[in-house]
Amino acid sequence: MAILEVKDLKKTFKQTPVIKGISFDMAEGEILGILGPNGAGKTTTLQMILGILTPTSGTVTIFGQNMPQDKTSIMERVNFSSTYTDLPWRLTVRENLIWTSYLYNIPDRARRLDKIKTIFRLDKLWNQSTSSLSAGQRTRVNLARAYVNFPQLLLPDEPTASLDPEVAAYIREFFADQRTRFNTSIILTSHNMTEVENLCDRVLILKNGRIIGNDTPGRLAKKIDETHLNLRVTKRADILAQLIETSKLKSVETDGVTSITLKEKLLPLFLYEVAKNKIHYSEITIDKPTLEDYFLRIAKGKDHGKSTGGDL
Amino acid sequence: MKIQHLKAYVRVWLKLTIQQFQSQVANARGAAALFIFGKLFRLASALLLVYVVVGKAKLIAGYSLNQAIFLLMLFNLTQTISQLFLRGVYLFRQKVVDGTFDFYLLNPLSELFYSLFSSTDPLDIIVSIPYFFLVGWAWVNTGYAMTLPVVLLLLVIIILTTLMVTAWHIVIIAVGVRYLEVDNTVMLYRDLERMGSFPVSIYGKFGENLLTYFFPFALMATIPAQLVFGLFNPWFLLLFALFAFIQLRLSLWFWHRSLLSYSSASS
Repeated sequence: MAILEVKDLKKTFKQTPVIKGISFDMAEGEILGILGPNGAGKTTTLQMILGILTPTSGTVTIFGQNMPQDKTSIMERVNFSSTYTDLPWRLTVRENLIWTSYLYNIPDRARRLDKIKTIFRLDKLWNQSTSSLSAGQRTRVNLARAYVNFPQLLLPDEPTASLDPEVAAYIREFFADQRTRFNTSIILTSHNMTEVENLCDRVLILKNGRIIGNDTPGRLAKKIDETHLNLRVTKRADILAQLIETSKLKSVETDGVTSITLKEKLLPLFLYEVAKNKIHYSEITIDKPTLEDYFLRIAKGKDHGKSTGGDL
Repeated sequence: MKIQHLKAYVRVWLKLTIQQFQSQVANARGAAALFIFGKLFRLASALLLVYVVVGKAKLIAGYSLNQAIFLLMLFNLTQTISQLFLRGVYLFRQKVVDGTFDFYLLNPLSELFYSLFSSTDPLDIIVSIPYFFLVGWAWVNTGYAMTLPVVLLLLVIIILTTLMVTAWHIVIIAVGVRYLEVDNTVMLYRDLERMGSFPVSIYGKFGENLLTYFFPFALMATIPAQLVFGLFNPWFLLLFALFAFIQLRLSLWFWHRSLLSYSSASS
C-alpha cells in the first residue's frame, strides 16, 4: 500500500519552474533515496512533501491525507532531521527533547524520552547545552529529536554527515532495524552513495526539476555497462597493449596495474583473448559499475547507458 | 480541531510563555522595567493630551473630559488585551530569515499559531491588570451605572476586537511571508490603531466609517464607550460579529495564498 503519493507536482518561484511535474509513490516500509546534482530540486521536493512549501500545482498525499491541508494529523506520524536545522541553542539536550515531545503531544513522556536516550546513546550528553555539542553530537540529537514521535515516515537529510564511522554505521543499522521491526518508511537524501546503495530499496534521480531515474540502486548502476578490468601483467605486456589497441579499448596504467574499460558483456571474451595470447598476470580485479558511477554520469550531463566500452 | 489538539496548543503556549518570562527574569530585568515604565509613560502622556485638548475645548466630539478619559482608558485596555497574545508578529521577519519559520511549518501544530502566539509577553499580562482598575475608575467618574449586562457586553466587544485585530495581524505576517517586510506594516497598523484612542467621529464621516467597519479601531474605545453612555444599540454587535468572521476568513485566505510564494530560508 502506498503511504506517499506525489502526483504531477510543480513548483515555480517567481516565474522560474523549479519542479516541473514529478510523480512517484512510496510503499509502507520502503526506504527511498532521492539523489540529484545541486539545484536538481531535491530539497524543494522534500519541502513540499513536508509542507514547508506549498506546491504551485499537483498533490502530495501521505497516509491517504492531503498535504498541506491535513498537515496536523499527517505530521504527527512524520518527522524530519537535518544537520542543517538548528536546535534551540540555550536548551539542554534533555530540554530540547522534552520540548519536542510537547509539540508532538507524546503521552508517557518520561518513558519515551528514556527510550530515545538509550537508542541514540545520549546519556553523557543529556544535560549538556546544545550549543556545547560537536557537529556529530548535534546530528545525533537531531536524529533523536526526529524519533521522539516514533514516525511512520521519516525524512532524514544527510543523516550520517559529520558522524564518526562507528556511529554512522550504527545509525544505518538502526534505520534498517526500524524498517524491519516497525515498517518505518524512510526518504533519504545523502551524498554518501555507498550509504544510499546499501540502505535504499529504490532511488529517485532528479535533474533540472524532473525525475530521470527511478529504480533500485543495482539496476540504476547497471545502466552503465562499463566495467573496469584491472590486471597486473607479469609476462607479454606488449601483447596486451596490442590487444587493447586492436579492440579499440581505453586503458590506463597506475603502479603497474593496467585498468581496461570495457562493456560488461565483453568481459568473458576479453579474458579468453588474454588467456589465448598467454598473457600472464599476478593480480586481477573487476570493478563493476556502482550507483556513484551512474550518478556522476548524470551529474556531468552525459546520457546514461552510452559507453566507451569498445567493440571487441 | 480535536480536544487533544487544543490541549497541546494550550500546553505549548504556556510552556513558551513561561520560558519567555524566565528569560526576562534571568536576562533582562532592566528591559522589563523599561517596558513597564514605557507603557505607563505612554498612558500618562495620552492622559495629559486629553486634559489639555478637552480641558481647553471643554468638549471633544461631544464628549466631556471624564468621558474622553474613559474612552482613552478603554482604548488602552482593549489594545493591550487584543495584542496580548500577538507579540510574535513583531519578531516574524527575523523568524522567516533565520529559518525558525521553516521549523514552525515542520511540526504538527499550526504555523500560524506559532507565528502569532509564540512570543506572548507576560509583562503585557501584568500591565493589563492596572488598566482594568483605571477603566473602572474612569467609568465611575463619568457617572454612568456599571451594570452586569453592560460589563458582559464590553467583554463581548473585547472578544470581537481581539478577533478583528488577530485578522489584521494575520494579514501583516502574510505580507511578511510574501515580501519579507513586517516592521513598516506593523508601524502603519499601529499608527492607524492609535487613531482609535479618540472618538472616531472626529475624523469625519469617511474616517469614522473606515475605522468602524473596515479597521476594528472604533470597537476598541468609541463603541464600548457609546454602549456605556447608552448611545449604541447592542444588537449592532451581531453585525460586528459578522465583520469579525469575514475579516478572519479573508485574512486566513490571504495567509494561505502567501504561503504559496514562500520559498523557505534554505532555498
